Order: sequence, then C-alpha cells, then structure tokens
Amino acid sequence: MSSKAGPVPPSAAASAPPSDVGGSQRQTGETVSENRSPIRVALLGNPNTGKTTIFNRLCGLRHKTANFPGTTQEARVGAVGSGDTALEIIDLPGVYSLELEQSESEICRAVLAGDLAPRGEPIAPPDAICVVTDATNLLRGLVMAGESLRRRLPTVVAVNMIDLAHRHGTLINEGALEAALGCRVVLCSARTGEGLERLRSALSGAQIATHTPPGGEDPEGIERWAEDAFAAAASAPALSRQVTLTDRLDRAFTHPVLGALTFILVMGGLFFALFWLAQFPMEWIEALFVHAGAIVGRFLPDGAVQDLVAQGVVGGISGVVVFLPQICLLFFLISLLEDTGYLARAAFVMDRVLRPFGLPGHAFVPLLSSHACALPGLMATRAIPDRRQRLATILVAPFTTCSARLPVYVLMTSLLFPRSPALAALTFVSAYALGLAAAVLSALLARRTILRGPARPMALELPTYKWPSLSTAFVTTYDRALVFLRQAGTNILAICIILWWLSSYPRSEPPAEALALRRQAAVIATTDPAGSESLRELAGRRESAHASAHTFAGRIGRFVQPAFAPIGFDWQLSIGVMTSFAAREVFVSTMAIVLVGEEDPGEEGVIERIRTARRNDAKTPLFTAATCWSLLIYYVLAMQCLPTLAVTARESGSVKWALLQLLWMQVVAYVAALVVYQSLLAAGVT
Amino acid sequence: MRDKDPDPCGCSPGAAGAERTIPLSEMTRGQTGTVKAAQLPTHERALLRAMGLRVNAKIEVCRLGEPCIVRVMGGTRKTADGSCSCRIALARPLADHVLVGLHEPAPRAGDGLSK
Repeated sequence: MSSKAGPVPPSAAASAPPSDVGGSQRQTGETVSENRSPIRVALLGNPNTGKTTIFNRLCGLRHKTANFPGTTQEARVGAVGSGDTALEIIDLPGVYSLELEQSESEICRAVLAGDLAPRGEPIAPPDAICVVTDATNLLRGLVMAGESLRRRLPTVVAVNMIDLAHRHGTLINEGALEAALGCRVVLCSARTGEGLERLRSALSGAQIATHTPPGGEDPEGIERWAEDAFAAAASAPALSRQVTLTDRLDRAFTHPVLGALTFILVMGGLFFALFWLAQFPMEWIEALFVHAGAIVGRFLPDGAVQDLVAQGVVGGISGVVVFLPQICLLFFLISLLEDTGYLARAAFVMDRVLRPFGLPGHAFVPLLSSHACALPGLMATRAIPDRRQRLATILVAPFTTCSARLPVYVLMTSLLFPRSPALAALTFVSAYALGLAAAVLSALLARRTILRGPARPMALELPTYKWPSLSTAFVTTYDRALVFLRQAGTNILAICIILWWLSSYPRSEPPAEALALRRQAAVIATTDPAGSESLRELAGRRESAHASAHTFAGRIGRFVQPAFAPIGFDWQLSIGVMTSFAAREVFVSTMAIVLVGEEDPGEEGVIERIRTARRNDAKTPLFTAATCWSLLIYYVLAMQCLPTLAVTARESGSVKWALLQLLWMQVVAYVAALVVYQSLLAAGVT
Repeated sequence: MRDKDPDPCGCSPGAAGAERTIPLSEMTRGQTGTVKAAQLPTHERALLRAMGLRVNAKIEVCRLGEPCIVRVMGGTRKTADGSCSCRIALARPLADHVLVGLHEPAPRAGDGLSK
C-alpha cells in the first residue's frame, strides 16, 4: 500500500455484507436530521465530474484546507448555510472506484468508515454522502454511486453537467433514477448553478437508500445493477464516429510534433506570466514593505528592537509575501488549463519525455514552475497521483534554475565573460540545462533506489474540452495563496528572522581604518564638502564589510572555510555561501557588502570592484576563472533556500525528505564544483 | 431490469462478421472493437475496469503510439450505448494486455491466413 491512511482492508470493504460496509448498522430511511448539526457530508466522485466546481459553488470561500493525518493527500472542508440545515462538506479525492488499491481510494474508504478525517475534524463516519456523477458519462458514475450506497449511509446522487448532457441528446429522468437507485437524485449543473439549491436542500434531508446494490467479490454485479439503473432512467444516443471538436483538437494537441509545439507555446506563456508578469506585483510588494520598514523605523527608537521589527520581522514577511504573485498566477493559470482539459493532454505529451526518468507526465508542471520559484513548483506536485513519483518530483524540482539563482548567474557570467555577451548567454543557458539534467538524473536515481517500485503505467482520462470557469480558478488561487501564507509562511518567517539575526549580530565596533576616514572627512568638511562626503561613504563601506565579517554568519563562514577551500572558496566567499543559505540571491548582496562595502550590487563600479577583489594575501585575485566556474556550478546545484526545505517537509509529510533533499543537493553541488575547480586548476586555468 | 438483447454487444460473428482478437496496442487508428479480456495484474485491471474499459465495452482507437488513446463508447449492452463516453490514454504495458475483438467485416476466404 502506498499510503498510511488505509486502515480498512479493501477486500473486507468489498465483500462484507451491506450493513457492515459502513462500519455501523444503518436502517433504511434513517435521515441525517436525526444526527448532530452541522451535517457532515462527504463529497465523493470520479475525477473530472465537476466535484471541485460543486464544492466551490456551494462553499465559496468558506472553506479550509488540511491534510489527512499521516498522508500527503489534501482535504478541503467547507461550510454551507447555518442553523439546523448547516452543512460541512468534506471534499474527498477524486477516485474511479472505492475498491481500488490506491491511496486515494483507501482514504475515501477510511473516511466513509469513520476511521479517518481531515486534520482537526472529528473522526466519525460522515452523516451523508454526496456522490457526484457526470451526466455525459453517467454509467461510470452510477457504478461509483452503487459502491457508495453499499456503505448504508444517507446518500444523495448529484448528476452534474446536465446542461452538457442535454446538448449531447442524453435524457435523464430524475424520478426514474431515484426509483432505480433508491435514494435522492438531483440533476444539476455546477457551471450554471442549475439545481444546486435543490442539491443543498436534498443533502440536509438525505436518507439511507431503500435498497442495497449487489456487491461482494464479483464487481460485475454492481456494473449490471448500474446498467439496469441507466436503462430504466436514461437514454443516450449511441456515440457516432463523426469527427468532433475534441477529436480535431486532440489530433493536434497529442500529436508527437504538433503536440510538443503546442506544449512549448502554452508552457512558454505560463513561464512568461510567472517570470515577467509577476515581477510587477512583486516590485510593488517589495516597495510596500520597504515603506513599512521605514515607517516602523520612524516610530521605534533606534536599537535592537527597531532592527528586529524593521529588518527581521518586516524583512522576513516581505521575503515570504513577495512570492505570492507567482504562486497566485501559477495556480490561477493551472486551474484554467486544467478546466479546459488541456492539462491532461500536456501530461500525455510529456509522459513520453519524463517516463524514462521514472517521472510521470504530470511532473512537467512542477518542474516548469520551479524555474520561476521552487515553492509553487513543490505545491504543484499535488497533481501527481502516484506517491513515489510525487516524492521523486518534490526531491528533484529545486535543482531547476529558479529566479533567485539569476543574480548569481549574472554576477558570475559578467565576471567570466565581461566582453562576450554571446558566451555569457551560452553559459546562462548551460546553467539552466545543468539544473534540469541534475533534476531528471536525480529522479532516475531516486526511483531506482529509495523510491524503487512499480510506477503506475499511464491510464489517464482525457476529459472533454470546455470553457474554463473563472470562479473556480479564483477560488483555487485563493485557496493556494492561503495555504502558502499560513503553512509555509510561519516557518519561513521564523527562518528569515533567525537568519537575519545570525547575519546582523553581534554588532562590532567600526574598524580603525573607517574611524580614520571619518576623522579625515570631518577635517575637510568645510574646505572640500564633496571629498568629505566620498570619504564618509568609503568609511561606511569599510564599516559594513567589517560588521558583516564579524557577525555570527561571518564567523561561521570563517569556521567552515577549510571545507570550502578545495572548491576554491576563501573566507569571504564562504561567508557569502553561509548568509545565502536562506536565499541564494543574498550571495550577491553579501559579496557586495563584504568585498566592496556597498549593499547594492547594481551600483556603478561595484561589479568591477568585485572583479578586482583579492584574497587575504592581497595579491591573488579572488574571482579567478576556476573560482567563478566552481561558484556557478555550486549555485546551480546547491540547496541554498530554507523556505524550499520548509515546503518540502510540508508537501512530503516528513522532515526526513527535506533533510535528504538538502544533503543530496549539497553533496552533488560540492562534488561537481570540486571536479570542475580541480580540473580547471590541473588544466592550468586560473 | 435485465437486458434481453440476445446480442448485447452487437459483435457476434453472425451480426458483425467474424471477430479477430488482437491486443489493443496493435489496433489501427479509427478501428473499433469490443474488449474481450484484460490480462493484467489485479489492481491494474481493476483500475481500467473502473475507468470504463471493461470486458464487453465498445472502444475506438483515437491515437496510436505510446501512450495510445482509446475512446470508450458505451457500456456492455446495447441499452447502455452512449452511457459512457470517455477518452483514456493508455501506456503500452497496459495496452499490450488488453485484448480486443475487432468490429470488421468477416475476412474473405484465404485473407490473412496464407503465408
């Protein structure tokens, strides 16, 4: 079994007599009104039946997201109405059958049996089940309804997408279907809202079915029962072999060449939105927090408290919230793509590429999103159904080049190729390729060692193309944003404050050189104001560099320097590595402070001064070609991002995966940098 | 209510010509057939069955290759035609083991048998 959340043996559930399936004796006609309020309703259904749209329509923003304890499976719990008819809806994972040996089915079985509940919810069987079926694919939904009815819990069957079914010529008689199933049936359309009010009221008065579908060892029994129910209540035109719009679109979107081109175009658009469009709100957020920091600074007296609030807390919150635009955009666009039906085709196309590395086609979204930022990428791994494949994707996604690595790439390529933009660009592209190669090769290794096991061969439903729902996309985005801010934000904020403290304390006295410069500036203040100002600036830079070197992070940098010596890092670079452990981009500003005493590396001449920086002997250049290559390789491959580790721990359900990810990435980065640095030295490149 | 149709899947040799059973992965694009067997491990067979790809279901191949795409066109009986309509992308390890009886005219004498 792939999940820990399956205490109900499937065989027992499948073969037990009907009255035992739900774990308690239930009488026909018993209603949920005899139970407590709010009425807890489990929302059950096949994938692509519009279950999420119904949940969003019913609950709107009144919901929370939690995990099922001991699993990585997410559960949404929403509230509808108030008073005696108030409902609490638990959105279960989409499953094709309750009896499958898959973690999602195990979770559904356990929830219906009252052995499992989303974190924070009472562990008890739900008061009612709402089985969502697709009216255009009714037979399959009826089989699921039959499996659910065998649990002997009050049940309502929602036949969704009735508008689409009517358009296709499918006729469903609600009364006849109720008679055939023995429970309430509501024809509805989550897209238009038709029938949802009736569904809500039906759920408030749901009853146990008047009869129990056949079951036991032979699944044919329940299938025959479903076909009988369909024949009694519905009629659908036999499917013609006419070429439909879906056929035409599929010919292009799943074609080996056209499909790949479409994929590149669509994903290019997604990437563009993440990379380019998100930069504007990100800049606004940064500006807002700079302003907030300044306001805090004005109201609090100078000292440690002001530094903690203005730099630690406000800076830490800013460091978290700044990723929000990327996360919102990613999930908004993914929701739209998923709703159209294209995402399943993209997974189909990419399956051919990723399968040899032990990853499924679904892994392309996390890997692509991680090129902007690993945090939304890791959260996007929830779309991967297989647990091992999902874990493998989580472990390797941070290898891909995120935007935080770009400042380091820019610095290194401008140091390596100051007069050759073409070579700098080639190096940039190679860095991206190296990250991606490290990701897929690591995935292959993981799938052959610690995550060994049969992958699910692709059996992927390709849903019908349809217009996406903006409201579903907005609710999904809101949901993801909240999860990110609440779950990851708390950890990340704490980490940022700790890192800020390590990089800022203890405060040190200004160096003698800086004091001398300030004295000199004071002497010439009246005769040469411009010269005095530049001396003061120089003194400030010396003080910053001195202070940075004497903080805890600086001391740690000196302490660990011998370990970094084989890859060409001196104590100054080691400080950069240490301070950028929370976020890679900090490396560049740390270098600017330590080497130049200037916080903004974009300041004119700073890169030139970094280029001419020397090692301790004041003779050897710090940034030789070998050191630059070594640093570049190290930053392509190393896990220099604590927020990513926090999200990995959350998404994988265990800190041990985060620690393994950290260890693996640091080892790969170190070994690769070592090989490159020592090879270049041996080849005479300095 | 049980179906009384003597030829529930509409594919008996007398009605639609002699059936040839081949793996799904060997079907050609546009070819239709009836699933005869899924010789797969229990959990994979159960998954395909739950997705609608079960014995006696009518299918059409929409795209060849790895993975291939099949359209499930109904249930196992004539009364269930149109009751199930979905497209499933199947990896070759699965498609190789799903045996399908082809819906095609009976081959003329000697066709495909002489070597």
